[in-house]
Amino acid sequence: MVNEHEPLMSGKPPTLPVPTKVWRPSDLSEAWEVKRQYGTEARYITGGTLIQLQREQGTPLAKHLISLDKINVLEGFDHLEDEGQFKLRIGALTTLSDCHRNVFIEEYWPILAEAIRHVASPAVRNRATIGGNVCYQVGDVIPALMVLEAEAVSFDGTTYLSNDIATYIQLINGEDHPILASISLPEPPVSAQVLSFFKKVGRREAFIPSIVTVACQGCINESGEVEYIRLAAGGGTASPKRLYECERFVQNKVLIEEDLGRLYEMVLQEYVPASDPFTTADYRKTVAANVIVSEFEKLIQ
Amino acid sequence: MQQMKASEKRNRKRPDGPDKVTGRLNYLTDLHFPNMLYGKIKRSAYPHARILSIYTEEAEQLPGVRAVVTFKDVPGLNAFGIVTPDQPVLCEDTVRYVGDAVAAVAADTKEIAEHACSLIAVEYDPLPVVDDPAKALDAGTPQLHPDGNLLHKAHFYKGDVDDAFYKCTEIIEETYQVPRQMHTYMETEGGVIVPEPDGTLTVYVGTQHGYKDRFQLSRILNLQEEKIRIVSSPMGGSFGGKDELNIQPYGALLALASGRPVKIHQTRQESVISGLKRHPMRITMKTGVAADGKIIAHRVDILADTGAYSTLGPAILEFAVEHSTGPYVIPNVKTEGVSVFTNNGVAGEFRGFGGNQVTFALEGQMDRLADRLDVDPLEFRRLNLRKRDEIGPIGQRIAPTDGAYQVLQSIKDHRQLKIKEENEMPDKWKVRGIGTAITMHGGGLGYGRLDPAGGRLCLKENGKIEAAFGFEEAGQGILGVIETIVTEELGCSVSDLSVVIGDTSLVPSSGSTTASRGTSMVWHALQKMNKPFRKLLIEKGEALTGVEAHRLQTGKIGLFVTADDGEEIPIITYEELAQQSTEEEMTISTNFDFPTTPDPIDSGHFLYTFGAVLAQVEVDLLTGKVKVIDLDQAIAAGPVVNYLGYKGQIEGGGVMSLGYTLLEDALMSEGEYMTQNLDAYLIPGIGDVPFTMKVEAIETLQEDDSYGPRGVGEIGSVAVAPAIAKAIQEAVGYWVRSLPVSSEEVLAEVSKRRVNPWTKAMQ
Repeated sequence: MVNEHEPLMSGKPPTLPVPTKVWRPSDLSEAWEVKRQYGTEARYITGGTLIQLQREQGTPLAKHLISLDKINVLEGFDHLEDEGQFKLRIGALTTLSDCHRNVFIEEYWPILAEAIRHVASPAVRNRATIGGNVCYQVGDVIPALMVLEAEAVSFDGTTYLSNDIATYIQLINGEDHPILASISLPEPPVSAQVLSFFKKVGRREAFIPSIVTVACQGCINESGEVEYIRLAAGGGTASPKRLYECERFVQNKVLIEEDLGRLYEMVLQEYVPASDPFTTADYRKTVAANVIVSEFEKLIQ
Repeated sequence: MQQMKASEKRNRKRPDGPDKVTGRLNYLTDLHFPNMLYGKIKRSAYPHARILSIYTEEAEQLPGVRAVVTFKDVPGLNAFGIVTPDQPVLCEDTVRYVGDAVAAVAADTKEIAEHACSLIAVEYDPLPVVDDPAKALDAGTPQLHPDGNLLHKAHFYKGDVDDAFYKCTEIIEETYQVPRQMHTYMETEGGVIVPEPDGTLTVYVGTQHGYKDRFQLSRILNLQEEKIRIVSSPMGGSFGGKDELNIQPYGALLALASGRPVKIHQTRQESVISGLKRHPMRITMKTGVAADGKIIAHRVDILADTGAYSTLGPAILEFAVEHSTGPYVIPNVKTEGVSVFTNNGVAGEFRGFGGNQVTFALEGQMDRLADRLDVDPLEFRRLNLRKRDEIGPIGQRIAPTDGAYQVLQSIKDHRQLKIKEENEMPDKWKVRGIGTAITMHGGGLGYGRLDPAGGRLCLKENGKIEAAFGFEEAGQGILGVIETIVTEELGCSVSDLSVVIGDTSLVPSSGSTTASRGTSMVWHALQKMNKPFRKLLIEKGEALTGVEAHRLQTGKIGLFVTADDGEEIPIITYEELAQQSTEEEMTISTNFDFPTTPDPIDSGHFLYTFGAVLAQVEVDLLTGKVKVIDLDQAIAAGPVVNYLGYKGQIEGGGVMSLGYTLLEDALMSEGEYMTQNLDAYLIPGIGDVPFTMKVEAIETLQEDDSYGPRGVGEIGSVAVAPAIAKAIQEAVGYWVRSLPVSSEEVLAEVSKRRVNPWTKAMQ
């Protein structure tokens, strides 16, 4: 015998739930204070596309939403020079559409532009922010940012922290996690040949969560050696991860055909996806391995 | 019958098009009334349970709540169902699926209504869930209805299959599984129900059959049919999904209880949970050929999962049985179908009506046999194809037709051209394949079923010729069809015309807008009304002008005579005719039935359409993903009434079935939907659809055919899945048995063939 919920015999007249309160702080310190005040009852919001999706899926809206939309410094692009290296800083509130239109991203970090192109639909990209996609923890841009060695700059109430993307994503799991302020992209290394790709596989062509997402940024020197390599994979509910073992395997190698079989096996071992009612983990592994190895095969041909 | 061609003239832009694409059009779910309340339906928390108590007091006390109804508040029959009313409007003691309604609330806002629903406490005793149709009839399985879990059995026997299989040189036996497809209309179920001051009720809710809704609501509300007015068009899509009642009873009960207009518009999730789906079926076919390549034995077993309630389950099963031999002549056939109750949602009417499921299996058999015999699959089909005067698939006489041969030949020619096209693959990890399939599909409801149609023409006081039909606009383009047929038959122009549909207070009963019958029935109605209506106008014209009736013709703006030099001289306008006439409005109406076979064979159809599909796919060898790059169809359905509408139906049906083949399945686990919204239940996007699709309309009918244009609402959706399945087999050698096609299975098959060198390392 099951009661759908406890009989409401409290005697008090029923009332409507208190509607969500939306806070619009004007700087990060204020945002931080509001969050500290309401703890787990509060949630940050920017474009709101993910929160809306989760709401449709049955997650109740938080009692307090802290909208960061009035904090202007969190939006837009800055060019920085760091020890002679060119860097692009992207404000966390910059929309995915604006990132996609940015000429520098297109020229220097094309796989990021490619990753953004695969996020949801144009209407969603017009509202969704790059910071929101990172804080989603399984966003499509994360593997691309990982292999581009992007830096997440966040605010912990007193100071600004700088972390790699993977570390920042872990920080989000904690209570009172720092607020993502910006993402910095370092100039990617160049050599004789660049090996760079981003692939997303979904159950449909567009507007679809990924089954498998892989990203790679690397370069090959004049003698055909893999001089630099960053490889990451994500997809489904699994947080994207760098494939360090695979990277080590190809690093400093002139790849030959026999290596491809070994690399294939290593991807199968290192990439740990999850199953869902539509797709098994085994399928995801095979696809990730196929996609990655087919790209490396091009180096041999 | 005059020869009609898909000419420029018959390429009408639909009159409702601009308002739809600009978003200006008001659907019934957009309506607002003063003092309107919002209704919400509380649905079951379990797929199968006994209800022990329903406690509504808390909800009733919530400020802003104006009415709460449960089973106790149903004044008439607490059940609905087009044929057998076995679905409770509001459940009293048992719930049989997650969409079963337990209570409904009307409140000042949607939010209050929603919260009030959460305050209704229902005490359940959960029962074991019947979720496997294969076990539904087993002893020990919980019985969902007083008569058990069997909804319906249907069969067709001809010759002696067991004996014939002994004579076969090749036999293919295969089991096919097809999914639970959702209609996914853009406009979910909804509308406004208004209690009028005179005690009548106006129901502004989209439906495919206004008069049937009126009948069913009358039975539920214990209110005379004449006191219920159904306004039912336009709809943002239906595809069979809105023929049965959906939210109307709840809106009506709440409107009567509160005395105020009540709007209900289901969210997508509510629609998924409560709405009908296409019947999932498991179909086993054993098909054998003799040495001459002719099929001589065909054994078919169909198991349909009808879910919790009947609705049109029996008719759909019978349709599947009838179409299980398709356009082929087979001397020995044994087809047995069974449709069973489970706690898996409710399956019902859906474009194709059981034909799509069984055609996937049948055409799969044809391709497998052709492959086994090593003959061209279309040539194999041609060898077994029905001839012009052959009797219908279940032994009934049908309107003579060459459609099967015509579409087969057309798609064969098209395939030749496709094969010759340059096919250089830019990507070494992609391979292509072409597949074809054909089908025949019955229109109308079939022998032994009430299938009335009708229409009315009237010269109104304002001089407009009113054409009134009980058909509904569900996006299919019925308005363009009516405009074309009426203006052509009467010679008048569109501006002389006023088309009225979708309101039981204004239109005659025309039967349901279903079974590809709309276009056909409008044409038949005009054949019957055209002459008497023209005569009526002309006689009136003669009386008013003195011009002899035999010289007068109906034309644009009014009546005219043709002078000896061919010049058309206007005599009197329709407006003048209406205004100068002292009598009542000039009206002609007609009632008739959809043409049926003269043979008393239950459910047998008489008018058939034919379709042939060519699909080309590109299979990604790295992911197993299938992309359809060509989806072209040849259709034989008589003269085209409106080419744009025709093409839209075929392309739209094609894309809907592309989704059925590759993406769509309302997945359930233990009676609960795993796909509760469009983020998990996937329909094709524009990126999944071929850039262009060709539609070849074969318009010729037999010389003595007097039945005119057939409807094409379904035919474009029927044979798509098997064509895509065959194309996949051509590309990678994998025979698809289950829909939607699993990329995982395709990839596993590709991997087995070790097309990529690196997987060798795995061996």
